[in-house]
Amino acid sequence: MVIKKLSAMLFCFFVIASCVNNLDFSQIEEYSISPEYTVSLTYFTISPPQFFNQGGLQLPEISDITDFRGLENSYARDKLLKLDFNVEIKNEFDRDLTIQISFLDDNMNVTHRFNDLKVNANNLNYTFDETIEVSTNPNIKTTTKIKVLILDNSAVPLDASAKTEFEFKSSIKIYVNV
Amino acid sequence: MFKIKKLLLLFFIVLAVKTFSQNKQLLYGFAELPQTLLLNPGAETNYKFHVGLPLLSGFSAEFGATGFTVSDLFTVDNRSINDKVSAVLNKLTTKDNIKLNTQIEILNAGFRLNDKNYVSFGFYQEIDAILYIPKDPLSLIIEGNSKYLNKNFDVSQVLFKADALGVLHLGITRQVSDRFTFGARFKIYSSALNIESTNNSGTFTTVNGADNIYAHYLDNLDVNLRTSGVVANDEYIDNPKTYLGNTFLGSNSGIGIDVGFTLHLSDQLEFTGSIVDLGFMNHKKNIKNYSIKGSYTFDGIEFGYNPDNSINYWSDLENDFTEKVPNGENQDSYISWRPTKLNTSIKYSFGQKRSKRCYDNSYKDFYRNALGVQLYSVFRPLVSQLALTGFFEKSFSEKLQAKFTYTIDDYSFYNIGAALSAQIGKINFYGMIDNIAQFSDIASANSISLQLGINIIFN
Repeated sequence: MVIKKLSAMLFCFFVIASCVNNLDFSQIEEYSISPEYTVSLTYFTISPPQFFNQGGLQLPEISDITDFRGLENSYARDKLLKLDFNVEIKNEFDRDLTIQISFLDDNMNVTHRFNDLKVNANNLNYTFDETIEVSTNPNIKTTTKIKVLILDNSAVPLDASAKTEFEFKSSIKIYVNV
Repeated sequence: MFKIKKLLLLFFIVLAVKTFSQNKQLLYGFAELPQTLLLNPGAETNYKFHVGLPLLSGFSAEFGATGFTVSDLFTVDNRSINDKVSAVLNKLTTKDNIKLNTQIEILNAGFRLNDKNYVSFGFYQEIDAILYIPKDPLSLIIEGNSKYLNKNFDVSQVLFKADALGVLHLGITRQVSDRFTFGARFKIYSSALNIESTNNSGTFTTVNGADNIYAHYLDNLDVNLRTSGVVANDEYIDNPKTYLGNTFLGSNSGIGIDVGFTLHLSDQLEFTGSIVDLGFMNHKKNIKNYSIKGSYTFDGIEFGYNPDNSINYWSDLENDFTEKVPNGENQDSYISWRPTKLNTSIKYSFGQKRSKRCYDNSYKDFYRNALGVQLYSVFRPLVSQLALTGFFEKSFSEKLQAKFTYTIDDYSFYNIGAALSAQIGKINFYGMIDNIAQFSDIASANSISLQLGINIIFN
């Protein structure tokens, strides 16, 4: 009995005599993180022969498409705030080219289409930035594919033997709030 | 100022009731307590036999964090919690860590075999965990890579180890001569749970690219996570009884030893040393290990614009990544080493000389005061942790003794502790508290521990 009392007294002493400044653990509920991830996206370098089919006919447009499964995870989708899309282009071609970039869902429906990029002939430092706010473009979260189409509207035929190149680079900055 | 928050109170009560501290600088060599034999099996004892009160003979906890304190994050002020977390993260280094060690003695007993030998045995449960702050991976998760072009995010900073186990032990302390006592303890470990990720390597870097705007490099990634006792038949074990049951002679077992000595260099000068938990555990049941290894460079998806040959770029990317950075699960058995501890001390006794009655009705002289120094080291995954303690012991009588310590370690430069041991009849009671200087504001302390125990000692 004496031991029990002594134990209890000492324990109570340690607990009661010890103090803490005014703490509030509920602050943790207000904690949020807003990371910004920069990721390379698509890139390519094309030359005039790629505008010609096997029969030697010049094509008015060429396009390519890739899956993009970065937003497939529901957690990432739910926490997505906005996207900054960046493009850098070097056009050595002797003609203006138009680039159409589209984000698509699994059914090939457009979830977001960027303004057309009109790149003048011989413009070696073309840049393009566009921000997509998820709150005003909720469809963006269903994006699973990226399509890049290049249009040649020039009436003058392309010289298939020309040594010029068209260089396209892109990246995306993903803003998340957790 | 003196408001005690319920949550903090609950936290410390839980720790105090369930646990037993690790760096026991107050307990080491103190008052010939039976529990000192667990820190130095070569410690001197002076009784016929002892029995610890089951579950009450020794319990305490040690919680420590370097680089930050609870109040850094949760003090009520005008700053947002996000700002506080950022401030803490900015000042942390990769050597900063959070540790927790708890023990509870289920059984502790001993008896004198003959004039020379004292046998002690028992069973205790222990939780030991250490987490080094993975500063780079945390920055990557919390802030992302956008602000950190060219920075190598170092994956080797992912380093943690957690054990829950039971320890069955049997030791013998032999008085070799009047001046020299030696002891050893054999231990059988039974692991209830082990989770560890150590010896990882690799970096993640984003740089300005050549082919694309950016290039991302994953260099020499080699990350592993080993677990035992957590997953059975692909399901997490969520029954506490299973964990408790596995602490006693379970399938994931191991062995270890403690050795120690006490040497009287003169009548007043005593030198002691011990190695505790030199051992390992072999984990072979309910194993689930994960690993990922390789290097990869990603600079985006390169379009080919070949209408005659449509390419599934994403699928190619996934396959290429999996081939170059394979990851997988396995159930391979593995060995984990116990965190071995080293203790050593030198003590100078002085002051009034008194006599106390020994177990054999002879009398033994003792000095009322003693000054000394202790050194403690524990082997941790990254580096050994050291603690240097200066102490003063005072014997108010044969039955009432006190010890005061000043400890410098990774967690504090001014850790003052106090211990008291009292014997009323055959009942021995001891209590110890660390970090008294921080008692007015525990939340600002980098470490805290409390130990209490009750023994029945027969002279």
